[in-house]
Amino acid sequence: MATTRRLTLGALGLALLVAVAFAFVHGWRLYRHFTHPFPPPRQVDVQHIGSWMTVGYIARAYGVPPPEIFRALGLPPERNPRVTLADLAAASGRSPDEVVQVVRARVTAWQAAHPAPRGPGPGGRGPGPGPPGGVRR
Amino acid sequence: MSALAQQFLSWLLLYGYPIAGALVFVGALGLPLPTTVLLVAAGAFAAEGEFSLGPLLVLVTVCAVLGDVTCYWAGRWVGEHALAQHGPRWGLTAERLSHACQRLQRWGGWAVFLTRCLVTLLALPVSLLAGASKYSALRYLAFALTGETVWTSSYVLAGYTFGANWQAIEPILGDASAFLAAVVVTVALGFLASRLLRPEATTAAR
Repeated sequence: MATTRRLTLGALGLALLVAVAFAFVHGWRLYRHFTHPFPPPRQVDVQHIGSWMTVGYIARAYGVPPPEIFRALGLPPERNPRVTLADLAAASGRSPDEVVQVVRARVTAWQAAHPAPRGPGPGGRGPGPGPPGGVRR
Repeated sequence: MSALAQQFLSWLLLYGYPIAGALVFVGALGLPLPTTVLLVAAGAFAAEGEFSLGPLLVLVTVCAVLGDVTCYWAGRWVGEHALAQHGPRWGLTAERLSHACQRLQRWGGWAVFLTRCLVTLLALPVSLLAGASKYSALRYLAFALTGETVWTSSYVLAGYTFGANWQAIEPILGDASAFLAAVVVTVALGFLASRLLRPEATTAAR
């Protein structure tokens, strides 16, 4: 009985140590997050564009018309935007990374040529400086 | 972000509500799906007009609770028989099970609530144990609904607030939830250890 209790206490102590270490590691990382500038809400960054995104989503989130994205990829502009960049890459025999790079470049160029109006707009996007390498609308 | 998570995000954008509900339901059954990432992303997609926020919140909360209730009833129908037959093999004697059931009757509400919104890794075993110990179905439902509402609305609203920038806050949310879960587990283990170290527990063990 006493041995079982000692074993239980030992296991409990070990689990407690692991839990405290886990809390410390994540608490430290959380502290580090809060000591750095917090990501601004609704800021868009072209670096976040990924091959899993649909053309329609990119168009809405980044404020670029879908035909612009299709044109950048050398595709007919009137396609259905409910298609992912990964599917477009597979259909055109290109790598997803290559397609993503092309789309990022076109979105950046489009946003530079069509700056968003200052002040909170539809969807709540506000003004302010963008991040390094990113664009804020 | 894992390839699996990316595939699910594509499905969310392509198929909308049905896939959002299905993934949350399957995740609540205990399958290791990246449901928190999906909830944050779904909130962000709502900010971009892919979903309506209200119906999305209701759908994911209901699907999460449905998954919990399925696990509870699985525990209730299968658990009792299975534990009686195979439990002793793993040291779960009738006496220990009865003791665990008494504890669950006393602390079950908190256990169900906290494992829905903070220590989600333990959601499945707590649901199965609640079912197997015949914990009140209505009380289970009430605590599961409260916990899941906190869980789904926290992540979905965080995604909705940050919109297209949701990927920047994903690591922060991950660390915050892991930290809170670790604190809850630490407190629970500390409480258990303090009870075991009490003089009467020491005397009873001798």
